[in-house]
Amino acid sequence: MSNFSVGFRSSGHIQILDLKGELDAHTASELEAAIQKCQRDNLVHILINGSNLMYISSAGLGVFMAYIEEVREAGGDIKIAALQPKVFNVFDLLGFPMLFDIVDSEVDALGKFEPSNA
Amino acid sequence: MLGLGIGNSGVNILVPRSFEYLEFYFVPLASFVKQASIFGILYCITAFLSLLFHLPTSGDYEQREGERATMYSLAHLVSQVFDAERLFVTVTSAPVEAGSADFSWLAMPDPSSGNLRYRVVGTHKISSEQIAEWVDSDLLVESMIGERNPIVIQRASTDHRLTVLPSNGQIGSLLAVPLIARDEIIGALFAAKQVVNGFERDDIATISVFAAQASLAIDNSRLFEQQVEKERLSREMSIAREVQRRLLPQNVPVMSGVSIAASSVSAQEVGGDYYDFVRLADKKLGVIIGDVSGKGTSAAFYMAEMQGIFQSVSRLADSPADFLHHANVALAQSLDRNIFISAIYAILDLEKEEMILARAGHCPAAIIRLNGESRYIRTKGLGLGLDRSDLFRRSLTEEHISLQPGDVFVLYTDGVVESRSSDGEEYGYDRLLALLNDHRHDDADGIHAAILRDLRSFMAGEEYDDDMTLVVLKWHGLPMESIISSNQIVHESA
Repeated sequence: MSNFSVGFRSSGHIQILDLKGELDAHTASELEAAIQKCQRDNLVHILINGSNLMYISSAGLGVFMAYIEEVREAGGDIKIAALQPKVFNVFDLLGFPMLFDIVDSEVDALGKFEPSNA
Repeated sequence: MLGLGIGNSGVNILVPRSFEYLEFYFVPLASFVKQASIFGILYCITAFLSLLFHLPTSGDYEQREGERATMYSLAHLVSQVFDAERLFVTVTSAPVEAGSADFSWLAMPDPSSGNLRYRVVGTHKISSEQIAEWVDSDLLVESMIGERNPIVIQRASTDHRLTVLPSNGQIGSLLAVPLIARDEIIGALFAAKQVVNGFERDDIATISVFAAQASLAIDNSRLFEQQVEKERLSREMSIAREVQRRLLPQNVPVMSGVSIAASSVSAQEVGGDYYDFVRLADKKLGVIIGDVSGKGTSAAFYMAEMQGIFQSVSRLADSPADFLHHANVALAQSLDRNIFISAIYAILDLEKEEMILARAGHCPAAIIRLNGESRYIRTKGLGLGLDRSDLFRRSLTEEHISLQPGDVFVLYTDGVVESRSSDGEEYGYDRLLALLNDHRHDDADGIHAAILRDLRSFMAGEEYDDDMTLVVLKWHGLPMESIISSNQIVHESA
């Protein structure tokens, strides 16, 4: 029924979330649950891959704002990669590139995380 | 003995004297009459005895009485639909009142457990503690959900769903009947007897019939409650909507040489879109448009706060960027971390013939000139509430635009450009600019109406799924006192 889903992958100590579909007020809770799961598992290096994210509403953007502080306090970060141009525009209009690392490709984003000290 | 009596003729008064003659004169006939008499007498005795055994016993009378009581409470169920508590009491006590059980109780899904567990809502002649101790209601309900038939346990001590010690002997047999309404199990009626094998077919049938009626009554009672609640909510919401409508300007300001048109549509009763005007000086007008993230009630509260901030701070701020900075500081106290507000604040200064804009994360305003030159004014700036340090202030840039006669400024919320057609296509920025180009010779009202018309035909009957606000300003040039025509304002709600 929901046209939004989150896929989990990992690369080293970095948790990659593949977003798919439309992230709006109705589906925002699914991304919230995914990030909460990462926090529970102590995975605070989170990379959002948006290559299959077709739409984001303001409520969807709110999810990133809700967790970024906690994640950074825990020594991690949320980085965003591979957004569709239209979705990037929504991030950009609100000035998100000033608050988050938003890069073109997943590889670039992986490179921006500090190497694991584990 | 009778045969003997007939055989020893002469002394037996049961045998008529004429029979002795018949036996003497015609033996076969006599034997026939004898046998017929014996059959007749036996038949009479049998008939008499069977009549005797079928006479109603006092137990039967009690049961009838009980059934009558059940029918009586059935009739009363209907009238108790408006009082759920009383209805539960009646339903719970019915099996005992009807004489079909010694104890009874009613269990219903517990909303706090997501309707997975059952909660006892009424008991009769037994306490909730006793039930909890003796009966695993969850297991019983689980078995019922599968079959949807009554469960009869005739020997409680042998069933794993009951923990009854033979010594305390409180529950000997148990009957559990599902309450089904609109194809859903809404609860279960339990009846128990002290004796084993206590439930006969009649009892099960009586309680089942009663349960079916009770389900209907409980379901109706819930529908009634929901309806009342719905009406109350919708009354509250219409008040909220009216309050919010009054937070938006009731008229557009009248300024010589400028035409203005504005409207706001909420996807729900209340929304998070905001626009407003403030007269800063005789020839200076402030215009704001804002959009709270999310929609509905929570967005509406922040929209109201934004209105308060705008009305109090805008007159004190030196410039649009200055105002947005103050607004960000003021909002930081109350905004949730996941909520932000995008806004554009523009000052139309007819003295200096310029428009000054600052954008806090909002969809960029469009400008279109008489010569067809058009663009979006995309100054830098974070959304309000996204940053609480001075990064916000540093992120803001302003743009000063020298007014030329015929300049049109269009401020809007994302509901406009993100409106979708039936096949999912977005209205988009390019289409908006193209439409403005076509209508750039109209006044503000004309352009405003053209955009709404085009949106409606683009969406072709699709519902608005976001709040949508549109403000159009047109600078006609200074000596144009006579063409001020637009002071209309539209409020709609989807």
